[in-house]
Amino acid sequence: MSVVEYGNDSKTGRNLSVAAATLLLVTGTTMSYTSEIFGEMEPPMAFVKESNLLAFDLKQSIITEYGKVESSSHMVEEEVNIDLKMPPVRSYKRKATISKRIHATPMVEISGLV
Amino acid sequence: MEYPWYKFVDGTIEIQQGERIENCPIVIPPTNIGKEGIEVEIREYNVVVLSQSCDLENDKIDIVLVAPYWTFLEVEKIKPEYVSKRNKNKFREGLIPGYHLLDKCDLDEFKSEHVIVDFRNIYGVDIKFLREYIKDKKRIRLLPPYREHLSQAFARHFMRVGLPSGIPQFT
Repeated sequence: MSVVEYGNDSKTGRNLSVAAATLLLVTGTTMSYTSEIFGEMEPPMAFVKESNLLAFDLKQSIITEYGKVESSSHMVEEEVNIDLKMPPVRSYKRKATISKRIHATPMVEISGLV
Repeated sequence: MEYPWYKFVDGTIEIQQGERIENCPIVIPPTNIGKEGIEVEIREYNVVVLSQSCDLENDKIDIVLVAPYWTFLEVEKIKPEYVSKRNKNKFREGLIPGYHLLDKCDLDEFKSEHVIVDFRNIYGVDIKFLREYIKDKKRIRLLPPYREHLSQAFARHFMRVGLPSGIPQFT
């Protein structure tokens, strides 16, 4: 007798079917819940690692329900604004006279234009 | 296979892109140009040549485009916060707009630390003057592909476009 026949034909079978279905439901729920809690063990560690980075910016981070810090790519590849304005090796002044002023003229002439 | 960054150059007036010239005199355009005499400032910078080698070789240009550079040590003396370890790596990754990092040089004839090239303030030097100036000077020249990488970095800086409002980050 098959399981189906056995389950359909007797009170015991029905009880077994209900028990199996319940077991499946509980197992599935547990597995799903477990992966959410334990499958991502990284989040707490990631939070610690991220918080130690010099570039860590609280405003840039998004803290999820389980404490996972999702850093934006912008934070990792953030450009730094620097303006060197370094002095020259040395500088000095000289007097100059203007010998002639030249107005810019085209280097080539285009023929055929009216 | 090794790819050295630099080649030592001596005794030639040929100039190429990526050539490093020390103490290069640069005439700074004056603020006011009077009808008669003017006073001009001459600044000497350590510079790297940005003009294309083919333009220089074929006398296509009269003015050579150059960009000044400084070592981390020189920057540290004036602005130490700019050369923190984090910022040095940002320079290395090309994440500091307007600047480009060149590797140190370990050639026996020419030792140099890492240098930061400044694309924000570039200068023009008369080509005839520059050829005369360098003919007795020892210098180093960037080799491919680092030379092309410098040129590309300069082009990228020059063609940048700032948007008034960017696309918001996807979440």
